[in-house]
Amino acid sequence: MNHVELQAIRPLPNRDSDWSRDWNLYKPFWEGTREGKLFVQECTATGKKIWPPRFLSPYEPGAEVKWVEVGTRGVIYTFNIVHRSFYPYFNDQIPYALVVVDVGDGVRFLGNTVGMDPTKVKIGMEMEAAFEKVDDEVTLVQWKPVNGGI
Amino acid sequence: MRRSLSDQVCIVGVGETDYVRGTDKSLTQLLTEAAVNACKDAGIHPSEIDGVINPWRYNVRCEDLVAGLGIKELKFSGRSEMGGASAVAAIQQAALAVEHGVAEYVVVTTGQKGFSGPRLGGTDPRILDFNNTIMPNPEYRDNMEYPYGLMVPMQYFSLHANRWFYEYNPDPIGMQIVAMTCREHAQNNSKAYMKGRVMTEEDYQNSPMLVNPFRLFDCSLEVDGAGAVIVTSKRNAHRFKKPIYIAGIAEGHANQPDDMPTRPDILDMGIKYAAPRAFEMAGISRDEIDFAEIYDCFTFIVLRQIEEMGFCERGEAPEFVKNGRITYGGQLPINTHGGLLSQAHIVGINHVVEAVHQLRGEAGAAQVEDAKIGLVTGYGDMGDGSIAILHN
Repeated sequence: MNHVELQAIRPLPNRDSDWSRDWNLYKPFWEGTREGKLFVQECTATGKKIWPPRFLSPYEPGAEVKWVEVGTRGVIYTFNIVHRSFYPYFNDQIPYALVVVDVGDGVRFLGNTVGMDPTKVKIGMEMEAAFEKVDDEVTLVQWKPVNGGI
Repeated sequence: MRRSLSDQVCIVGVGETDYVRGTDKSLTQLLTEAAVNACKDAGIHPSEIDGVINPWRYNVRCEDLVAGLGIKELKFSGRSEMGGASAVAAIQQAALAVEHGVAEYVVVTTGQKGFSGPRLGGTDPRILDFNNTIMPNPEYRDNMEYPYGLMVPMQYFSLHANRWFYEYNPDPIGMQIVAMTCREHAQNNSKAYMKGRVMTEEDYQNSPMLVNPFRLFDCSLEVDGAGAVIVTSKRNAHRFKKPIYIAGIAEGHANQPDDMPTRPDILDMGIKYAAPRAFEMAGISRDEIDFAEIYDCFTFIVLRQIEEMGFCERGEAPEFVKNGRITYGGQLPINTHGGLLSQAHIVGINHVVEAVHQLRGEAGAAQVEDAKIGLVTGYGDMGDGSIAILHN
């Protein structure tokens, strides 16, 4: 793909960016979002939630991990509002917000806002996952305010 | 008793290229020129260098610098995956190597083509390829960040800054004070890119908001250039006129080091862990520091490092920097050369170069009176930190 072709493309989960990446750690997560569900890992020894996903539990050396469903509501832990584009796809998306939503048990997801003015984002706002189907493979997780648009 | 590295190692040469916007030179050439300048400053022939650390950059390896320096037998090389914290962390590696006689003279060099090469404030889609060679956990970034438009440092660190403002309600004027102070200090440094380009409060306040809370003038400079220092054991100190000793040095990493927003406390920083170790190694208290060159990729991170190093409590750095405390004649003059904000962002080694100039009494108009003990920090990647305490 040449430089010009890259310009129009939305960056999406991309396993091919690393030649050596012959595993697929995030597969269960993306399978879940296609069903409108959020999955994270859990330590089989301690029961603690793990996010981002790991190959082995960080809580018990060598313990295996399993994927479990978590809730789709949470509270904004931190955020920013992006006024300058740093990638061609986002040139007509600015201003957009990046929100970090805490869904409990130490699990925080990052996404953009939908259904609200992104410049009105505040820490502590209650948000609910909004699943954005991009194509048959990828459903991204965005966040909409629980108490309606702002 | 455990053997300490304190005062066993010194910096005997420092060098820089010019700091410019626009160059045809390769990064390899810039790094080599800086290293040669450091050798000239030390008064040694570059072929005497037997260790090279170009700690952090994806496209120049340590071995790429060997030919240009005329090194016949390289005995030590190293890397450090700590972004802007790599320069000082690399000096720690060099110190360990020379103290044990693995090598005699190690050059530590950093630089970047921040204007003519990959630009962190630009809109080039190759930023993702660049990121994937320099950032930890690229699989996480690919899956969970890039699709949502999170990809450059000012975005990552603003997530930290906004949580800091929420939890501690610090006075926003602190960021402006840091920006203004660095710009004023740059007027005293002949190498500073912003020398001759003064900034008023109005200029700062009118600069565009890029990613809140960062305005353009909260961000460090995209320039081309490189710097280098030469580290050797005190066994060799007698060869040099003004060796500058490393009293304490340490690196630190936050928990977990590969991501900020998902770590238990986004305000956790590596320097919180590194600073107590460095001060203990040095046997020096915070009150004894005559000046501090604090890594300033963004204004707010200077404030946060002042807090996490223990000069004040969390949220209080904006008060700490008021009333001239961080300029010449104040309690803790910072970034006496203008820093990354107003001299050059060459990934941190210029802070070490300036500290050495200060401790030799060779800082010209920027000289801190009677400077005996100086502090240098590094900050980078996902909140990694490094710190060196130097003295003359």
